Amino acid sequence: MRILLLFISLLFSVPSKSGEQQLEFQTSGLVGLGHAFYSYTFINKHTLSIGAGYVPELADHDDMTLLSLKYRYTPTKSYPFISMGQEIMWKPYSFSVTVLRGEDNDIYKTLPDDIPKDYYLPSARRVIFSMQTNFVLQDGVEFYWDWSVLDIGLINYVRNFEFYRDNYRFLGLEGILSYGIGFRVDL
Amino acid sequence: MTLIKNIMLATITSLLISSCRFDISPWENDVNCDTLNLEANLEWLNLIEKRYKDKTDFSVAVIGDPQQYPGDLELTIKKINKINKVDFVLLLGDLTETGVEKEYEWTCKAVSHTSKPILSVIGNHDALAYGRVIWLDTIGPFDYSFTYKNTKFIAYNDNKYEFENVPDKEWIANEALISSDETRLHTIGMSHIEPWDVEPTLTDELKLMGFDQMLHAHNHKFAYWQKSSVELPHFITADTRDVKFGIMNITPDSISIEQCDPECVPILPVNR
Repeated sequence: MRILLLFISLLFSVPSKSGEQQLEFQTSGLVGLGHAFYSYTFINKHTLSIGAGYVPELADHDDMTLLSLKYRYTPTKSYPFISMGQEIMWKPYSFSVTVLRGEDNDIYKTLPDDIPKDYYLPSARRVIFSMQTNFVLQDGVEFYWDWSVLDIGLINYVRNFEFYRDNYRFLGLEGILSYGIGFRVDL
Repeated sequence: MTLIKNIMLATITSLLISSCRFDISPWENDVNCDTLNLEANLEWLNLIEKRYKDKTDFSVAVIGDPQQYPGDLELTIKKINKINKVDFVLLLGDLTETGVEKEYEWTCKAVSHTSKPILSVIGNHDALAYGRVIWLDTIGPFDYSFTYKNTKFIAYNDNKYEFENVPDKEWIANEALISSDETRLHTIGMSHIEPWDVEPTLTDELKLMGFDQMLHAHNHKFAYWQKSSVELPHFITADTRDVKFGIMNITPDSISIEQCDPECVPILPVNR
């Protein structure tokens, strides 16, 4: 809760003239079938986002809502190119970290009373590390492709690099990556 | 319109060339894994038993707690593959750290190199999030038993923080009973956690039910003990990090344990 309050206060404390606001929509990449973000970009490369997503009913669990806080860093490096008469600005990579919280009875935000304190981390909260490649259209619309890794995936990959390299393609990244696509619109 | 078409084309092409996984949440539960399925492994074990029906002595590898280190699990499995006397592997829980789909798949990939059947018992971490659903769908029941060469193996769930009313002592007692037409040499119990401190008489009860040997994991360190007044040995295997496992050797007259780290040495239970 304290992190959420800090994040929201940061989001709204930045002077409005120093940045730009965006609405963002992503599908997959571990953040739901659909996830909408309200984003605020400042100093051209730092973006804070707050979002809500939805996972429809799956074979063995009910539908689930998701809440997220995200920080994204986008280097200023970009490459313009023209496709079919349309100028497009390619920002080859940006990096983000998202704290995701699922809302469902079978996962918990705090440990149940019958489990000793600190026995587990809350199973409803996950951290997602992402890289995106972005294509900015002239009219303030930006499409992106997202590669995301779950917290445990990153930890395991570092600890077990040879296992992933030997058992999955693309230096083992195939074993840990999830893909997503999305777009942003400047407000 | 042309631009939209191009973007769609680029997206679809990207999808095709990268064999994508569009996971919609960390809590998906559709695990693609046949390697750990109990039914399939028991069928495999049945074939092995028929193939070597005249062999009375056999050994079993005992592993546990491979979570977060699928690489070490893979190495452990490859090491066990080379031990000819081992007929099958008991994997005593905590295949995952947080119970999510991807962790089950990594464990599944790690054990896919096995040349021997693997029979698993659920651990406390495996039941986190939707882990218990994944377990039931992918692996099988939490409590089960099977007989191999007249030795009965009884696997039971004793993860009491994650499940209510476990272990199911009535079910365990019924499974341990020897029927009038049965020839049984030994009864071996296996669960993820050794008897909890709050149940100091569980080992007494298990002995009375007829168990000869108990196998566990959970503590991540080797231990081998028995209550001196009861003499039911409990072997706790270490985690698989740096290739650690146990071997249980069974003859019609005896059960002995080796501790492998990774070289194997015989050990005896310590009285408590």
